[in-house]
Amino acid sequence: MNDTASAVEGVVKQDAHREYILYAFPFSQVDTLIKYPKSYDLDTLIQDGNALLQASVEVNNTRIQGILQCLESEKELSGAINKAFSKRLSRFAIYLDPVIRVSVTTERNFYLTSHYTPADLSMLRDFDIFKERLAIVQKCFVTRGKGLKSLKSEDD
Amino acid sequence: MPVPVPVLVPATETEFEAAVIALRNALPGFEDEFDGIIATYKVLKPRLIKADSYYVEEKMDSDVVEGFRTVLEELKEIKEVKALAEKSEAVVKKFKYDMEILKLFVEEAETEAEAKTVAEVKTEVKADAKEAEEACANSTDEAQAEDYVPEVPKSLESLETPKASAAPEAYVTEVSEVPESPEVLEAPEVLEAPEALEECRPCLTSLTRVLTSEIKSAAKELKNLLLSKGGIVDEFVSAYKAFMVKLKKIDPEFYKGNKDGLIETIKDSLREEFDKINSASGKAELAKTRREAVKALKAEMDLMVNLVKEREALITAPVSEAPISVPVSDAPTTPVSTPESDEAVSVASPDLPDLPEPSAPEASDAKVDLSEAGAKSGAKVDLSETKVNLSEAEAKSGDSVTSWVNKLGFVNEGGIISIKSGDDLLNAREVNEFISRVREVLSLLNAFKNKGFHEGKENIPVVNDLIEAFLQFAVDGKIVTPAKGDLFNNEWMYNLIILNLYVQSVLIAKNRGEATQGTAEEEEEEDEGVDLDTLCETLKDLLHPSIKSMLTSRGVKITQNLYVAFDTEYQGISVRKNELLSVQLAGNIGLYLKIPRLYSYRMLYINPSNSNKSFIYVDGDYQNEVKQLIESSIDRAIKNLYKVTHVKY
Repeated sequence: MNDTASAVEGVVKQDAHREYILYAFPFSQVDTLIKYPKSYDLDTLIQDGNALLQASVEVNNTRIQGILQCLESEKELSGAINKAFSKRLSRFAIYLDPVIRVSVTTERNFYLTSHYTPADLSMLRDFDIFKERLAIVQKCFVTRGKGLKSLKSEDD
Repeated sequence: MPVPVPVLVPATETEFEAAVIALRNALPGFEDEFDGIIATYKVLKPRLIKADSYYVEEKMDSDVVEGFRTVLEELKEIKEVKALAEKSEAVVKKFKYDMEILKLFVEEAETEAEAKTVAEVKTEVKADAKEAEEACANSTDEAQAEDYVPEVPKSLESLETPKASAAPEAYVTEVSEVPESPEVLEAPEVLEAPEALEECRPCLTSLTRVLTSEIKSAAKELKNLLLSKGGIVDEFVSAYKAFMVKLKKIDPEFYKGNKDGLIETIKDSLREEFDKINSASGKAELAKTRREAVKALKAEMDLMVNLVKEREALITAPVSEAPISVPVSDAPTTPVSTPESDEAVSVASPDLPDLPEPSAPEASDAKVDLSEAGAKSGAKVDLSETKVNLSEAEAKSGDSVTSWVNKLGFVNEGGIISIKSGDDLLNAREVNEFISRVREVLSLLNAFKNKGFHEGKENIPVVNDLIEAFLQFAVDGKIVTPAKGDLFNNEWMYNLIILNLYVQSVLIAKNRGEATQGTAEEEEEEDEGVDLDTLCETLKDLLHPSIKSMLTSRGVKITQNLYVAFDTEYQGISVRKNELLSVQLAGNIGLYLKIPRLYSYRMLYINPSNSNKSFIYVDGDYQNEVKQLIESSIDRAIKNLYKVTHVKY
């Protein structure tokens, strides 16, 4: 598995830590989107962000599948990986042999940044609702600890 | 242009020496043992070449060099110091075993070469005699017949045979009566018969291959299915190896005739158990078949021991006992080779009276050898096995120690105390007993808090003085006991006790869960299951954070960070309102893969405020030895736990 990961072009291997080896793969290409809406809200922003990067996520999923498939060659892992990365945090298991199990934890984080958060975030239609959950650090709106959840999913 | 043909170049002496030096350097701490192995090889090699013309020095060295290189590559891949030491030990052990096999093979080859020499002499003599007879019979010219002088083999020159100038008739008569006496067996010259030797020579490499490949692969598969009880398979394979070597030693004829059958039987046994477990459906049935497999393997091991004893009895009894001195010619035929000669001796096996049980000198010798070897090599006694010598402990501290030992959940087996295995604790009563015993131990240990002069900084019970009374372990042949009042060791000793109890609790919980899942007992014994889980949690809470951190299940972690930058363009339509013109998004993804390392446990403190870890270092050789021993013991216990928890079922 280490060999397969190391073989990826541009990967940075950090093995200074005693407990694990970390591979940082090269960043995907930057995708851009410009919209001219009358109004915009947080949920649409998250959806657009995810849709913008979906192609890159799929490329990464294929790459991950190639790496994990060297551990388990019998079972097709693409479905499990795609399903796992459709959630924020997920876990599935692969089997080295009929007995030995390796758990794979997947994490998908969505980081939203902007030049000047008081100006940009306040342009969102539902800013009044979610602003209560933001903290202010050095004149910037930020989240500390847990991130913001989609308002629509909260309603559900 | 001709295509170059690859040629197998045998290893030169330089290559051999280079390979030896390279491997020697890769086995730190085992240099002396490795030197001994090489010295043995150098002694055995010329003997084998002399006894068996099939072997050529260069070919033998090439094989060895190839084997060394393979091992060297394996060793290079290991980064962990501890794993390297374990692998080195295993490598040296394997080479020693190979040398043992080689030695047996050399002895066999020498015996065969000697026997072959005699057979050759007899055959050639008979052939020459026949030729001479025919020549005489066909000859019409008497003078021609008189001139005929058969070629006498060189080996015959040393025997008491007629001179070549003697009359053919007399010569024929004399030769046909060449006595098959022991004197003939001592023919001095070795006659070469490569083809004949080729057929009857059991090949060392094939023997090793059979030992290591077929049986091992079957054993490995079975071991995987047996999970925590997989140790029995290792035990079985080593018993099988010892059995084959011993059988070959005591009864080569029987070994030769039955070797293939035995190997097949052993392999089939392993495969059969594998199939049984594999075909089991449901966890209850699975646990049951596993237990049956363990029993079957134990029964097979007993059979091996009995077979060896049986052969020993057949071999040794004729020499010492009266019934065996019955004239050999009167008995029905069951060829048995005696230690003195390889000639087949007929023994009436069905009519044999019950032979007295041999005193099993082999077995007792083996035990002595093992203990001596252990003492010589300074084998470390692992604290995770927590073996306690009861008699010494009682001599030191009286009866109270016995009660303590019992309360700690140890089991006395022949003076050696170890933690009772959780394999058999399956019914509710036993589980309840175990839980109450562990709880009692914990409450008793708590009684040692805040009392006496010692008060640990983390308020850990002072178990050091108790442990010293009954716990001893050897470090490089020296008996080491924890120093009294040593709070540093006390903390870790306490953790070791708790960890052992925790491992046992988890093992019992897992086995019990497998056995009762899906059955009526599951609902009835729900309380015990919950109690056991609570006990596991309680024990886990008592462990040091550094140990606890290793108990959390770790796997591969993949993180995808989606970075989205967001910007807006707007224009002010009033003092308080802006109108949105456009939004712009830009984003990319960072992918991170975290692969856990299987690292050995090391004592460390974890800062509770920031989780920073700092390793613990101690001064002094004694303290370091104790520290390493405790670390390795905790590490072993944790690895045992991994075997139980990181599996499918």
